[in-house]
Amino acid sequence: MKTQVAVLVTEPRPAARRRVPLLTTVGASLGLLVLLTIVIGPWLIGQDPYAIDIGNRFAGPGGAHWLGTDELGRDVASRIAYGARATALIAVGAVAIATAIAIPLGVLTGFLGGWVDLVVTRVVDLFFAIPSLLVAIGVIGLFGASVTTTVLALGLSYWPFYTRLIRSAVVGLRSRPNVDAARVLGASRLRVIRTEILTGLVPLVLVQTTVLLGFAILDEAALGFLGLGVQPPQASWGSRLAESREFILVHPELALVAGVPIVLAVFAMNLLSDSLRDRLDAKRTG
Amino acid sequence: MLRYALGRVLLAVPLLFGLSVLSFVYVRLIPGDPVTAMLGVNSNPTVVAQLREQFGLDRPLPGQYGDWLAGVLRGDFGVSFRSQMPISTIIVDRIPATLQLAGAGLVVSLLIAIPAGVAAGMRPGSRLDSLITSATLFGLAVPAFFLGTLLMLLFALTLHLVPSQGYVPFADDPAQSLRLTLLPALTLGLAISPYLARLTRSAVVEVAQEPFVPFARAKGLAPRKISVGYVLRNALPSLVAALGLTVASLMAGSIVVEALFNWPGTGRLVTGAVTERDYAMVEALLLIYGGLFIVVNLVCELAQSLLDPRVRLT
Repeated sequence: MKTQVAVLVTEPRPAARRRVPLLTTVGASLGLLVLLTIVIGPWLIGQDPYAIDIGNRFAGPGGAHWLGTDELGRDVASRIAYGARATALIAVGAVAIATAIAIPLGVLTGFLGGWVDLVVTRVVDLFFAIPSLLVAIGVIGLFGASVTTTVLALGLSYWPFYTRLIRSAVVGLRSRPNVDAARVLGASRLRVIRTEILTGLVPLVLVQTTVLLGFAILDEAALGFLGLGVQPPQASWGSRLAESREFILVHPELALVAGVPIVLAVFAMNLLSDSLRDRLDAKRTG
Repeated sequence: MLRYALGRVLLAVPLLFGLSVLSFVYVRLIPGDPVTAMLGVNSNPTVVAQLREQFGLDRPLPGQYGDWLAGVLRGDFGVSFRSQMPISTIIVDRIPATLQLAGAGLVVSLLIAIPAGVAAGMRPGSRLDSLITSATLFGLAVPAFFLGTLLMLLFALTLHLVPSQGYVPFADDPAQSLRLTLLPALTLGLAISPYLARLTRSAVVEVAQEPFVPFARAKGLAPRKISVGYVLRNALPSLVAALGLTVASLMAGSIVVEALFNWPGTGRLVTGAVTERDYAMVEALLLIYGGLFIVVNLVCELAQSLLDPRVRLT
């Protein structure tokens, strides 16, 4: 009898059997590929990304060097795999900074309203008025180009738009019946925020995290390309672009190889965030 | 209308003022001071003191800000820490090149994004829609410099149809100038069109749900007439407003595209000023880019309210 009940409970609901959209599958597989590159790539390739071999510059793919060698004879594949780690760390750090600013500020302004909202929203608008890449470049101008400043610069360039988003979501959540119910039950403001508002933000934050991770990978690369991101010889996807840029007219294939992983990783993030958005939106209305 | 316009302008003024304070404070945030940062820690103290006096860095901050702002309002951004030339002269020199690139890029992106967005938005969920949506998701993932490298490789280095890099002022040699603009503009336009296509799609989807659309269909109007004459016309106000926000991607994109194609515009100035630690220049560029963004968005909002009077009421 007991086993029967267990069978009944574990049987998947019809909704869960819904076919997974093709694009979600593509996104998840690409994401997994990137994750594997980050975690086991360096070990799998087994080459030193910093070992210079001038006699073997610009070697084509094949042999020990899967993707050939760069302008200093370093192994391109391992530079990309190690670079993936640096880029991923930067992206995660930047998103963490933006989230750490945006959630408290957005909740505070959206929930409290009044003059706090008015003042903070004006400041947010001000920062929003500067294109985010320019904010990032400005921060790098202050502290000089490095891994840490890239994280800081990207994090600081995303918070205005993210805060706006959180604020308007909180304004929407605030007028929901569950918030009124919690208030009637005598919950304090802090408790209402914790149990009703923050939990209501989870879908939005999940979607935005994937969106911003994609942005951060793109912007790290753009900064690297401009020579303002991670500085060569340190490996990152951005610095790889900066290195290959000098040889763009003679050896454009190096720039192409440096760009492909960026495209794939960001495409994966875009697909995942889009399907996440669809799924979470459907849940909300259903 | 006048009251609405006045209200919008009044909202933009504190924003511009805040931006000027921000740009000003930015340079004063530099650890140490700009002159030492520029010359290095081991620079001659007398030279440092002399330069500080020349740039007015030895006076109290509010006074410095007042003078600086008064100068800015007259179009005088001070002198470049690097080249000692007036910043306004340097920037004005670069503006035609950037405008040429940005304008051409915007045209390219509109030509791609509007038809794609309308086609996708008219039938949400259709096969064409999912094709266009996945194309935009992919397009958003392709960095401008990667796209530019591909185009350069194909059209300049393999097919030899156009020169790979360089710039000639339009007034000097119009034909060559346009040939040189082709690749950078195509790169910038293609890089921005996914954003614009998505914005167009969502504006069109919203309008396509209005009851007048099935009515027009029932009346037997041609699909093209419905999508262009009815839906696009009604989506236009929100599109114009969205276009203002696209200017930010246009600015960011042109910084990268200019670097790739060796295009002597203001974007190169941004990168150069940060690399060379020319803080007076960075300050001026922050103010100009931010101010331009605010003003363009103001103009777009006003245009939106002209196209759709309902906006004025909200």
